[in-house]
Amino acid sequence: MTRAIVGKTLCVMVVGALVWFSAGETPMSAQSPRRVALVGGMLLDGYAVPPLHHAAVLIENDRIVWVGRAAEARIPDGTTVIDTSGRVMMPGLIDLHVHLKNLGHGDYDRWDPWLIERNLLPTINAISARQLLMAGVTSAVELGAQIPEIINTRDAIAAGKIPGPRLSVSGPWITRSLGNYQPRPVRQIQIDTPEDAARATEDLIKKGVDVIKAYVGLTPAHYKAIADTAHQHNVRVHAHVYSEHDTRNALENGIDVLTHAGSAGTAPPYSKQLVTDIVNAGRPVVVTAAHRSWVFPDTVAFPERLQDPQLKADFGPEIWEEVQRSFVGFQRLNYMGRIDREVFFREPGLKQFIESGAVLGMGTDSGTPLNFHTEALWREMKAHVDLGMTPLATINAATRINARILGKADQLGTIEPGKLADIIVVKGNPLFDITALAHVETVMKGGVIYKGDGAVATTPSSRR
Amino acid sequence: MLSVATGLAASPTQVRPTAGIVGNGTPVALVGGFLLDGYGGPPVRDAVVLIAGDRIVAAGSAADVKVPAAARVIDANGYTVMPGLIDAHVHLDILGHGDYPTWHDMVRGNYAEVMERSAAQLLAHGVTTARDAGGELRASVQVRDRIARKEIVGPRMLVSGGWIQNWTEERARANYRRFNLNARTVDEARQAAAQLFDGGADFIKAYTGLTLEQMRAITSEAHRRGKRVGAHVYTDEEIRIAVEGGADLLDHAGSGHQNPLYTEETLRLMASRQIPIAQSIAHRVTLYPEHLAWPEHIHDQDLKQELGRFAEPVVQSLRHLPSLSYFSQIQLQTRVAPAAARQLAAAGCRIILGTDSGTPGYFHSEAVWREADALVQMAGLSPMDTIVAATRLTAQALGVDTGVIAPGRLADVILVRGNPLTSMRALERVEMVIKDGVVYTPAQIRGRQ
Repeated sequence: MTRAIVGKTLCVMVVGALVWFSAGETPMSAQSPRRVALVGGMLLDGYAVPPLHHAAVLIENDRIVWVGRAAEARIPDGTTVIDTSGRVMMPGLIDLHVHLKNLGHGDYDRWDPWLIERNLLPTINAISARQLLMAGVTSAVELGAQIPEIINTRDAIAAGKIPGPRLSVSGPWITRSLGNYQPRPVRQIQIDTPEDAARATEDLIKKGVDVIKAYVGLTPAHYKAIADTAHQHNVRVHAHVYSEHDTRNALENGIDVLTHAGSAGTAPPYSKQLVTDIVNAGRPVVVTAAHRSWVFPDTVAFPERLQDPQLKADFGPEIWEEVQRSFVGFQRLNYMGRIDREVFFREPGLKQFIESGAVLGMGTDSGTPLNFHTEALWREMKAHVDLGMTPLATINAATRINARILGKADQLGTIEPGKLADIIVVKGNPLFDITALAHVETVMKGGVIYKGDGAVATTPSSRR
Repeated sequence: MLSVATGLAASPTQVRPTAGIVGNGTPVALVGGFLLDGYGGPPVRDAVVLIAGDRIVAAGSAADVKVPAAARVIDANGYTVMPGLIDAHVHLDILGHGDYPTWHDMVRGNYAEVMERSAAQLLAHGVTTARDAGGELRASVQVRDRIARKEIVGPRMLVSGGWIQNWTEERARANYRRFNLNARTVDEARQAAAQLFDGGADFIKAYTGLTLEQMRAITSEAHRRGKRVGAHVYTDEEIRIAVEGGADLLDHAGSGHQNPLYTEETLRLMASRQIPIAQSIAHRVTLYPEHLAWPEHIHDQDLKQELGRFAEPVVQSLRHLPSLSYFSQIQLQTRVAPAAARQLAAAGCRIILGTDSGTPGYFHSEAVWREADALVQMAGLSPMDTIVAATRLTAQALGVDTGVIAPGRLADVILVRGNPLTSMRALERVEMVIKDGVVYTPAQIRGRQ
């Protein structure tokens, strides 16, 4: 795709270079500010309002400074003007549930030792981060990874050393049983008493995590201990809950985000009372509906998605071949063991929250088997639209509402003056067909363009 | 962008697909795609399609089709591979401008230039065969033949030239389409048809006002020469005249327009004769609301490049759709269309794909996917039936040897990103077009303009 860029005074290459040198979060105070204008496209600003047609957004360094009609924009000299005519501009997407260690490989029991043996963890974290950013995800919550590696990845992204979304990381999750999976000490902290839980929470926060993930086998006392400890440090807690019982315990003991509730067919429609209580509490639910329940049938209908050329370009030959091997007979994967029931219950599971007006955030569990970072979020959003959420409400959930759930509503999630300039430009109108979000052409994070014309150089495969 | 060949067996020679270069005898292999062959059976995954010269020589699963060592391999992993799209109703002499009189006054004398642009645009978006439903005959024939001689790029064209109508002389004289033929009598109708065929037309477009006898005269002249007639019909009466008069194809029936629903008798007539119907539902009724909701889409950069020097006047003319006379009946049409669209498929009629592309706001770049989407959303066809309609059935209705991916057939193949069976809007993402065995990418076609 070639799209016109009009450099008002500087040519594009020069601006590209400037952008690169200032990619770190330190503004170049002595010089004049770096200015970019996105001009001409339709603007969805993240609020529940009609789109603004023929709009313009002016950016200075990492901030949005002006938003309005293109005809009224006063663009200062020296601004890089990017023509977004015929495209849709919207806030960068936020994914509240990703796993950077995974790339969609079918079998954890083979993947984990394979990548550890080859010492590929930092490489894979970097691939995942770049894939998310190129898919338009400018902020993400990483829920379950070993530290310090994931903290290093987060910090490298923040310092502009590698491309990726703004990450909030949980490090290892806190659990009282091993769950369904083989023990993975590096990615989970096993505790016994509520006091252990509080200590583990304290310890993780000291080590620099941004959020806490409460996993399985926890009693009300454990949830309370974790939540109380985290809240003393202004840290939020995401709980991995499926059953009515766990969901209620998490709700009533101060957990901030109910993740997975309503998915996976474990608990077909919750009791009316529980749903009502969640709605009245305004407690955010992140259903992660699409992974497995939509992804599996979509893969059966179109197995070609497993060989998407973008994945091949992103992974490189060694990882590509290992991932491809894991897809042979994908319908027999352990991870899909209960798929019949999950698909059977997917509709009531998600609809109970859409129809009750619960606060819905968007998270994907991306990286899990067949659930690629390149497309997990539009698939999750499509699941919501399929079951009756309007495309605009779904987009707002993935941007403004998600920013609120992250606790960063003052910085992220909408396009308005003063906010960080996290903006994507999409070919096609997602209000007509949400799958247009599969075609993100331009990604800007903190005023720096990472994809599209004028993008900073990242790695060869990141630019289509 | 499609990648070529890397990661496959080392034996096949790996060549970049150079667009528009006539095949030099090296077979081309499309390897690894999701194949919809146009017959409507279950998709074949991990398929191989082998092309030599302008023909398909083999198609099937990778297990069944061997890739010759000398083949130039195109990696189709992650893509849907399907027959080139066929549009039974395009207008090469218009590019989406909002006002016909203004447009024709502007381009009269330059029709060939406009037509070449339309043809390239259609091909870039996956249309490998099209029937032009009315344009100046000499320019139409010239453009069709230049495409066939590979001097310019475009779909394989069947052209109608001017259409035949029976209007009062005053009305006919006043019309901005000066190349249409007005026939007041049966003899004049037959002469008009003969004149068009003598001038090189492939198809007749029978327009409005014709009597049953005139229709019979036109169709007998056409059939005597082994040619076909498409009739422009909206009302029950027009349909009766067309079908009983021997027309081979109906344009517009079931698109709503402003007529009420068809009678049982009309539906039975169309269904029992299995006459192919190009409904053209999407122009106006699905285009209009989407345009109002998203007016920016006409400023698309690719579109601008495709329209070239005509981009500015076309875009200007579409600034306020509600005031265009073309949309003066839109409220009524919007109300009638959903029921009308559904009637035909439900009655068992033979639905093909024809779009009326080029009409106001209805660009050649988007007509096919909009119509295909409307066939699913409004007419009630299944996605697979829609794919078959847009390929094999339309090819049959036009009498061209294409529309399926099978050995011996013309090598008209497109590669689409994503799965059109999930959303017909995937047809918006045609990333490679092969026509007569020659490989093109949309960007390369745009670059030629």
